Amino acid sequence: MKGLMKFAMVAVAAALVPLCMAQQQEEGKRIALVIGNDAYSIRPLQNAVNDSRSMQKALAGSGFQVIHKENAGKVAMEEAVATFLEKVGPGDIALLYYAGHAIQIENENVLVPTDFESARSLIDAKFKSFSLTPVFDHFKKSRAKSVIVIIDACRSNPVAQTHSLKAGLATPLDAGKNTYIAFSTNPNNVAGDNPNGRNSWFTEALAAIIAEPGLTIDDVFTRVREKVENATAGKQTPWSYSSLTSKFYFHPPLSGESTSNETLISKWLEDALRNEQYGNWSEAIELAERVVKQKPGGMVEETAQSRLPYLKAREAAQTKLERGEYKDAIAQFEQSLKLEPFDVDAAFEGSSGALLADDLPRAVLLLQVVRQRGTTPQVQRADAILKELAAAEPTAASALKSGAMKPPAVYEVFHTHKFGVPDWESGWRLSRQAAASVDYAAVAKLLPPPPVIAPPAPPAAPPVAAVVAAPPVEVAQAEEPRITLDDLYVDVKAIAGTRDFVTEEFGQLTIRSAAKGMGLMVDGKAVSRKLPFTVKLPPGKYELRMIEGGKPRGERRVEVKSGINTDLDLH
Amino acid sequence: MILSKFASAASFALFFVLPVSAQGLLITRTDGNIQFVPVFSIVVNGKDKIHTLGDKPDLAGPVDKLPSIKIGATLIADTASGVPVQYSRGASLVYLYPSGIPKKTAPAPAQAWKEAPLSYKKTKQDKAAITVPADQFLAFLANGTAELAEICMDEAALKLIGGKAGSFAAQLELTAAAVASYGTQPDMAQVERKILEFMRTRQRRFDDGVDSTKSLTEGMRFAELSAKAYPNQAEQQQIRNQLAASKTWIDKRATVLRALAAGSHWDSFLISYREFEKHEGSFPELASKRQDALKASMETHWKSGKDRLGRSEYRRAFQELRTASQRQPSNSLLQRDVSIAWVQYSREVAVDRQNKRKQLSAGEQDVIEQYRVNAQRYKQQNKLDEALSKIADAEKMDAESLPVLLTKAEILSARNEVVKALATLDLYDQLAVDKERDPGNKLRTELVFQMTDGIDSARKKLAEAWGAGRYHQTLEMARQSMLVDDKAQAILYYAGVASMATRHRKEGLALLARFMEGSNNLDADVPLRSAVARMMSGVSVADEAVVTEGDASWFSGRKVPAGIVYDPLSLTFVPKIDHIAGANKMNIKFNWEGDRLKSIVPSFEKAQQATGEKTFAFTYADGVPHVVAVDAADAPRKMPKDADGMLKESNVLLPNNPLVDAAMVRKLSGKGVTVGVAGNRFFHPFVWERPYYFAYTYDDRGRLQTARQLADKESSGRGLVDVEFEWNGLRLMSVTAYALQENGSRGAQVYTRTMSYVQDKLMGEEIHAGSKGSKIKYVWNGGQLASADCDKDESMDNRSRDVVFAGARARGK
Repeated sequence: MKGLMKFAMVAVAAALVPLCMAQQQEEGKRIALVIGNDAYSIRPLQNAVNDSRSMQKALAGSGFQVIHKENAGKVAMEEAVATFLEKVGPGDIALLYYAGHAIQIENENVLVPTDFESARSLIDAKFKSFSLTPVFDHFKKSRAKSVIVIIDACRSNPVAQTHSLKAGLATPLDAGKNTYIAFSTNPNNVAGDNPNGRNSWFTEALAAIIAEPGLTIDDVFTRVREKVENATAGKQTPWSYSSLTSKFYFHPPLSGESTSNETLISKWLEDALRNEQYGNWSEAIELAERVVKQKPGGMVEETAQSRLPYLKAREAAQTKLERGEYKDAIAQFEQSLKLEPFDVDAAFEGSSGALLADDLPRAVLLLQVVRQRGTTPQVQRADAILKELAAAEPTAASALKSGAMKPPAVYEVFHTHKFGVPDWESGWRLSRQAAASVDYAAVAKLLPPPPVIAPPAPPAAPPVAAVVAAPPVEVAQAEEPRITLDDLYVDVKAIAGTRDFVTEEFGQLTIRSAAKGMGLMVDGKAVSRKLPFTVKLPPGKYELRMIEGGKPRGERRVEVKSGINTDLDLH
Repeated sequence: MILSKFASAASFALFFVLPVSAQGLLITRTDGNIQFVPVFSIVVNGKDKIHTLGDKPDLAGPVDKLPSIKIGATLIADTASGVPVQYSRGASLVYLYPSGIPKKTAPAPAQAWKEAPLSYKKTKQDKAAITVPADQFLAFLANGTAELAEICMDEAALKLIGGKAGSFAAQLELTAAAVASYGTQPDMAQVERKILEFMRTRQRRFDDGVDSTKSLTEGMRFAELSAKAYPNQAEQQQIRNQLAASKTWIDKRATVLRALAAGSHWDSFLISYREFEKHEGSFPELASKRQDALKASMETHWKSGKDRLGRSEYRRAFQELRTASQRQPSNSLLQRDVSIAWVQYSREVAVDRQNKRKQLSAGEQDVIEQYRVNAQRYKQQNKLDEALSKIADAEKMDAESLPVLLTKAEILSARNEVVKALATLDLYDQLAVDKERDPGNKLRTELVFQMTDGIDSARKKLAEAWGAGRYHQTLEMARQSMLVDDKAQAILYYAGVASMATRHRKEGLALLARFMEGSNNLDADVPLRSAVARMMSGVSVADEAVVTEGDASWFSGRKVPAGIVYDPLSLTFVPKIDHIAGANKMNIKFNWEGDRLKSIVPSFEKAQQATGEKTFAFTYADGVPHVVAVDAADAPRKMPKDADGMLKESNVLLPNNPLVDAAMVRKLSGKGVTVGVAGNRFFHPFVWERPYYFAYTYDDRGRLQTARQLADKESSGRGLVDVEFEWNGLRLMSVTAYALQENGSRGAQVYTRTMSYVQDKLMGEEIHAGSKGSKIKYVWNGGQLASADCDKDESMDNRSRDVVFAGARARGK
């Protein structure tokens, strides 16, 4: 399987070559200098050379003529830079990539050569290092079309040990026009070297994402930023600065943006979902509609199609709210809630709109939705509002008096897009405080009807936390295997409305494949790396997406029936 | 001990018959209930005389040395000291001490009153007097129920009765009892009017955001009284409903605000706060939360903007950062981020639009360039209108031509229209890429300097012009300044208030709304904002309602319904007077030119009979319906043509002056600018000694409410007066004048004139000044006022007068 994919990738790469060439014809030369320095006498690094190699490969693949230096001393660095700058002419794309130690001295960024040993003073350190300032000056004179400088070098450095220096690198003050500068972390902060990996977090992500066609340089670094933030639990945020006045692609779109290219369309969908996450409703709608218009079929189209009503409701709600049309806004927020019952944010915003419209009973109902479906901090916030409202609105007082809301049925929790709301929290709240009489009927009117399939009767005593805490799937492995997004894996997800974890019935799914190193994920959770995979799943329809290097490579659908093993061969 | 002394004192009681007849009214409180007892006579300690202590309730010397007065005037209990006072509205208090108490055993005044209380007889025939324990006595009103109505609304008297409980508690208690006992009597009709007025005032004060909670609470309490006393009176019901609605609204809004704050819905809090802001003085905790909301909102949007910048979402980043900067415009770090976001956003837009630029032929490009070059030449010759015209021609061919836009911005800059120039540059930025952006950036920097520099000096000039009452000049300057910066708060403020003052109410409201929106930030001048919020409340775009039927008053120009003889706006007598024949061979001639009175000229049969009456000259101005000046002169003034000059030259300014909205100026600056004139101090319609000038105030129905005499050269040595007018609808009911004290407060009542009407026709007026009285009688001929006869009037020149009206003479009187 993986062999097939490699073949496909080669084919795609081959298809891309003429396009890259054409792009280069338009842009002038693509010239890159890549330096990776590990071999320092003080604080040697492990990954910088590997990083430079990865980048050399990635850049060469995107049409760059690469000058590559490893473990360069000061003279070697100067020579390499001179050679590089001599090659850069008007209209060219010049890219400088550096992995190693670098420091800021008096707001100036300097790269540390491997032969740097010690410095008597900051001035001494500055002269023994390699300043980027003259490089930028030369770029300004070269009339290059675009200049890209990527520094993966904000790691703890040897000079800082002996001299008091600001952490990390400085914000470039005068980088010039048409320049894109990226640092592995934000100014004045220190990046991680990823001691357990082969590459730094930053370069690992960058080298992989550069290869994707159709991404502008902004897209590339947005994705890199996301990946690094996720990998470092938010401790490291790559930072970039742009004065580019035209779009730059490492790999341009396969045939413009109007093609039905699967990758591009998937990217639109991802962008749509990312915009949804950030509340950029109009952008999300535009992208989702673009996806639907291309009719790619499968999950991509289905997802885009299914998101649109919700996105439109949220956009309308926001627009109405901003225009002061509060009643209409409330209606739209309620519509959003019907489509996404766990969109607690919509409930909050709706309640705010209701308060602005002086519709206090409506606000209370929406806050009840929050109390039923929100996380503990959200519930506390709703309670704080209700406490104030109780002075003027009797239903607010009675809501508070009634105590914790009855938690939502488990099948509801897993029914919607906004998956993973910690439903156990509401169960826990309920277990601490028995729910008294609450007007569930009124609250329920704000929410959609339950899924078509009838939920089985809940257990006699409602051990809500126990039910929800029960593992959704039974897997053979006791220990969770590690699967990174770059690996080849199969992701199994229930198709909306078909799965019910409360059931005590299970079916079995066996997945076979010849691809080596393939992993299995169920609902985004790594389950196994040992083929064939065997998992117990509640009866229902499932979608299997095969993903490699973060990109979808194919999809299948399968139905799991109670008490029956379903065998699926991915050859 | 006390009881025995009391009994002893009572046994010596002798009764004094009140000279003013049996009209007195005794007010007592027993077991928390108010009683009214009409009395024939009262005595204290059996004496018809009583000692006076002066203006303090202390016994400073021997009792037998204290001055004595006869009992007969109104007495009110000073509950706080336990010592009654002789009370006359506006006059100093005179504390009293019972007479007949032996000097050796004379206790402190409060104790003396306990030992020697007041007694009364209901009728002349009563043999035994009834004693009133000192702690039950509240007041004795010499003028009976007529005075009761006044006391119910007299703050000073109520303060005495209320003591620690306060005047309002006393007012509520006394008025409720008075309405219950005498509600149907004519004397009490004014109480009904005053309760209504009281509720109206409180509602208006609430609407204006003046002591909102206190006003509403007081209004609601009177609404309770009103509901009890006048349950079916439609007007009372209407205002009660308004008060109740206001109470519901404010309670609900405060709750909503607290809820929004509790939920950290800060932007919604700020939106909801807009209508509430004028009331914030009564809710300091919510005022403080507003500051929290501004800060939290600023931080949230700033963070969101920076996050979005990091994600290259430049448009949304710019929106977020701009919102954040609106919360704190002075934050330079934030402004820097806004600039960064704008550069990125506009660059992004420009890059996207680069390929969509209009494709022009070489010929078209040449023509556009010709227009642009010509525009530049006109600019060099300072022919800026022509320059803009050429730019407009170029724009018709290509509205997005960068050189054209840049030249346009330069021309607008030369015209000092910085706002428009910057808007042009905004468009330029969204079209320019690479080096094209440089000239735009350079010009922007220059414009921002031009803006900052210009606004600082403009602000000072505007404040000076506004302070000097040059409202029209202020407006013009503000309009010019807004071309330079249409967001500067000071400019918007002066533009707004000057528009309102000069009757451009729609424009003014819009500008003040922009001021409120733009200053809704952490840098705001909070008291100024509150003041603007209050001044905007209750002001609608439409001007005040005016009477549309009837003839115009010759003085004010305002239409007055038929039958109304006193103009509510100017208090001049509406029917035209032809002449007045006064005693001692005095003749006052009114010279009319059409409907305009040109002059009033006094003459005497013999020169030695002249008594100093002046000739009055009346000045009119084009476009102003009312008389603009009245002088002791032979000829009218010459008025300047410009509005501010005309206002400055006028010595009469009424609310219907089209050049200035006096009511609005009062609301905006607290400065009263309405000035009127009368021929005497008490607005006697037929006495024209010399011009007396007054500062006028009006009630919310546009009727003259008070007139405070303005000092002039001729008034020195003679006391100034403060005159109050009472109306029933548009009919004047009374004129009451008080001496004006040096500290500006009202002193003793010095004059009253009460009108009597029969079937809506003014039939007579009764004048009281000190102990002297006088009358005016009117004679009607059909629907026309024919003549008026004035008795000798000691409050004036002690002359009698016969007044002949213009229409009547024509009929041959």
